[in-house]
Amino acid sequence: MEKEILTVENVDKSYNGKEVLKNINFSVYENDFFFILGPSGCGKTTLLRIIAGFVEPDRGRIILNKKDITKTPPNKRNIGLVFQNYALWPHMKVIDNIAYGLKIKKYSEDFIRKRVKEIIRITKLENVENFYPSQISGGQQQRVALARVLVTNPQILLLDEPLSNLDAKLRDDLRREIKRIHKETGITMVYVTHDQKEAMTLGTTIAVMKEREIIQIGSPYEIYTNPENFFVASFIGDINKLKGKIVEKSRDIIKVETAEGFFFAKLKKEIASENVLLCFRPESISVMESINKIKGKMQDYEFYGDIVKINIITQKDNTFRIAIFPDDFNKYKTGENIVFSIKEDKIMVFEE
Amino acid sequence: MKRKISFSLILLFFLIFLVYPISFILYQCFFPNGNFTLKILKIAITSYVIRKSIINSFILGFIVVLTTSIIGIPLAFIFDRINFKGKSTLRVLFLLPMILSPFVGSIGIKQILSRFGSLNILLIKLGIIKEPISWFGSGFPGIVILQTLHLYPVMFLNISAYLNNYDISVEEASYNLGATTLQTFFRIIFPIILPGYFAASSIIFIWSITDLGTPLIFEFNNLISVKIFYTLKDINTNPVGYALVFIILFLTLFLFIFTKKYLEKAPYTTGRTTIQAKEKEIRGKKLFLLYLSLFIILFLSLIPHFSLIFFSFSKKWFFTVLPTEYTDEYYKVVFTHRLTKTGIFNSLIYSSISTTLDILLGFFIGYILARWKIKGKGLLDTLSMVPLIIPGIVLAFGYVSTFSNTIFDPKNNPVFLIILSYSLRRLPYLVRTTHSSFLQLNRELEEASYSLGGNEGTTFKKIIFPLVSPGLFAGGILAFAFSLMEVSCSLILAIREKFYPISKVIYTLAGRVTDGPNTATSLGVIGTIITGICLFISTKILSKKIGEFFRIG
Repeated sequence: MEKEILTVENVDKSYNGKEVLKNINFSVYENDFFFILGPSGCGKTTLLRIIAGFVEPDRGRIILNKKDITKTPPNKRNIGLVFQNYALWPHMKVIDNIAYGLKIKKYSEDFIRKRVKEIIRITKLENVENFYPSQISGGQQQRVALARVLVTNPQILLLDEPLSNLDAKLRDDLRREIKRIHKETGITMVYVTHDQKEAMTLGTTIAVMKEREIIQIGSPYEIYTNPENFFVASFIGDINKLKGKIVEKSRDIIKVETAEGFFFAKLKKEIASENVLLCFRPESISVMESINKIKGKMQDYEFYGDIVKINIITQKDNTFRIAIFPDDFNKYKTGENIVFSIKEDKIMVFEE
Repeated sequence: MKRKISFSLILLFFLIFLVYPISFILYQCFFPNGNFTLKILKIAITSYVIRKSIINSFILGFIVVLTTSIIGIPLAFIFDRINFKGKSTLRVLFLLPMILSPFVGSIGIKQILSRFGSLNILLIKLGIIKEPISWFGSGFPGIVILQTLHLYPVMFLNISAYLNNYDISVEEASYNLGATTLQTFFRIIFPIILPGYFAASSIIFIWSITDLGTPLIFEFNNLISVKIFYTLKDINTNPVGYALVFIILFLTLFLFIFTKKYLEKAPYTTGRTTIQAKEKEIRGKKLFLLYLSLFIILFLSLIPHFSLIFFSFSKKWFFTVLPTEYTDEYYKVVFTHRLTKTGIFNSLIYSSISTTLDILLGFFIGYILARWKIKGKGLLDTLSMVPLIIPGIVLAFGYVSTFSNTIFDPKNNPVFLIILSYSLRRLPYLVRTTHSSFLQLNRELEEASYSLGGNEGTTFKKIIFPLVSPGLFAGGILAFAFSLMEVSCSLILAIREKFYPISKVIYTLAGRVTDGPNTATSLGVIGTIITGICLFISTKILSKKIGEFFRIG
């Protein structure tokens, strides 16, 4: 059994009567790289600040290593926080920024020197340790922010959209860097982001948030292949949807009437309403099936190298997006008809 | 618990030394016989002369805000955006007028601008005019000139601080969208610096209408401050003074609340400044024009200084542009005369202690206001700002009347009350500066410290103090400079010669017929030089050590 490091229990928070977090529950396990993923304004930063201790929840508890820390002040929590804007102290050199936490904890100078040096090596900041934050690049500032927290060896590390201020190339570099640091230090991380790519590529567990609530928690694979609802499905990756009405049901197989004809789908859980949304991922299509066929014209395509994504419009004006391998792509031309189908167990069924 | 105790102590301090004396005055105004009456207020308002004084004071305040804006805002932009040789020295020189008390300056400038002063004589000699022009008229223009020259640095400093604190990209975004310089100024820059402008304007306005020394020297009596001063003398038989104090308190309180509400509504802080304004290098003709205009402004603003210096060295100066004979004897007198020696010594002591008190209190209160969640914070905010709207004469009078026959009685030993009055009057500047520094300080910088295990004390010492101290020192300089040449409280509270500060000595000497004014100006020069040196040193420290490294980008 994995060891629980952090548990957030029934947390609510309102500001001036406006609810920003509602009944938040989750646990983070040792060595986890836990992602809180959601669009802007869904309350994820507030949640992070509650964990760090800068905001007090209206209800609920924060438990760190089996200890209730809900009322513990932030400086007694030993939780590291990397701020979105880094919050480096402009009046201290890089090395002093990093050493700060250790000096606070009154470690011996010898220990501080060694430890800071080690962290500087891990974060590759050797050349700038005597510079002021204003004298180094954005990527380096980000590393300093990370180093400053890592050096204290916190029980858990919180990161608030740490890459959002960087350009694409640096983001990729630092994303890998963070993954490496996670591996190298084994530290448990909670990472807040609105970037699903970040969450999918780095995370071991993802909690998807929407408007104050956590909708689903799971591994990237679970979230992607078995999303809880249409929001999650569409927030993570491309998704095709088709409205329909259940006309027949036998055990877990349903027959749905749609604008594109009848479709068969396999239910993974019970559904309450008759009106449903049938969804599928672009790469879930096949050409071999005899049922669930869709016919349309190829509008255009996007060539990614490893795959090609084709946009298709049907006679009923529904658009779909499918993914095929480049080798198969030669068969198709823009403006010409394409027929494809979806296996019934590849269709996700959501209530409308 | 610790918080509550220190908070209560601060409140108690304000209650005893601020609220009580003011309440005493108000009580005398509305309850002269123990029963509520509006009689005294009515007498004041129905009087034509008093009404006129109130209007005059307001006109004066508005004009001075306008004139200080015209000088201060462009200066702030020039120093923020353009790089040129001698910039740091010039910056100090432009702050110099602030340390010259207009009360002292007016003694000097009278020699230049009076009916048979240097300017008229020069113009007559050059054949430009035939009859001497009355530059001061009723004395009102003279007050405007001296107050403007004294107060434009306040505008300059405030606007500079705001310019320093925002991300230049907001401006560039405007240019990028096709706006012109003027459009950008009025639509982007001005709204952003508006809170700073508003704060500066309200300080200047209030300062202007409650200034006593300058109108006294120019003998312009139709101002509310002067009226209060004169009614103080026979306050036992003529209680109108209480009503006047009430009126001025009411009006300035209104302005203060208005400003406060406005500042709350417009918290334009861009937080982290990613891109700092780049200082433009200019050359050739443009540079020459810049120097020329800067020197002209500087020359004009230093006229009171020059005239003061000439006056202090002049042995003979009648009907000539410059003195015909010079002497240094008045300076010798300053350093040998018992009265002047005492004055310098006293002022240095009073000002240092009161400034220290200001820095400590101002920082602490600013911190509480910005960071603590505690009941009664609004009260503390109001109380710490109240001295802004309390003219020195009112505070001093309140002290004299309230603390007579107690251990603080100024007739015996006014040192405590003088220091306290100096301190209280400058405290709002310090609280304001630190408070606004705190508001502009990105809270995450503190939170980062807390989350790394720092407690309130360490965070305070290692993060907050170093980051806020530039504002604090700037405020400290202001406080010291103002205290050293403080007029109103000094004139009223220092009753015995042995406790005279510089301004009371100057006032006393200026009233002596023969050599008095010369010695007075010599002392004025010395006092100004002392404050000038302090300002110079502090500005050097600020710009070199702190200024450069406090830019993150």
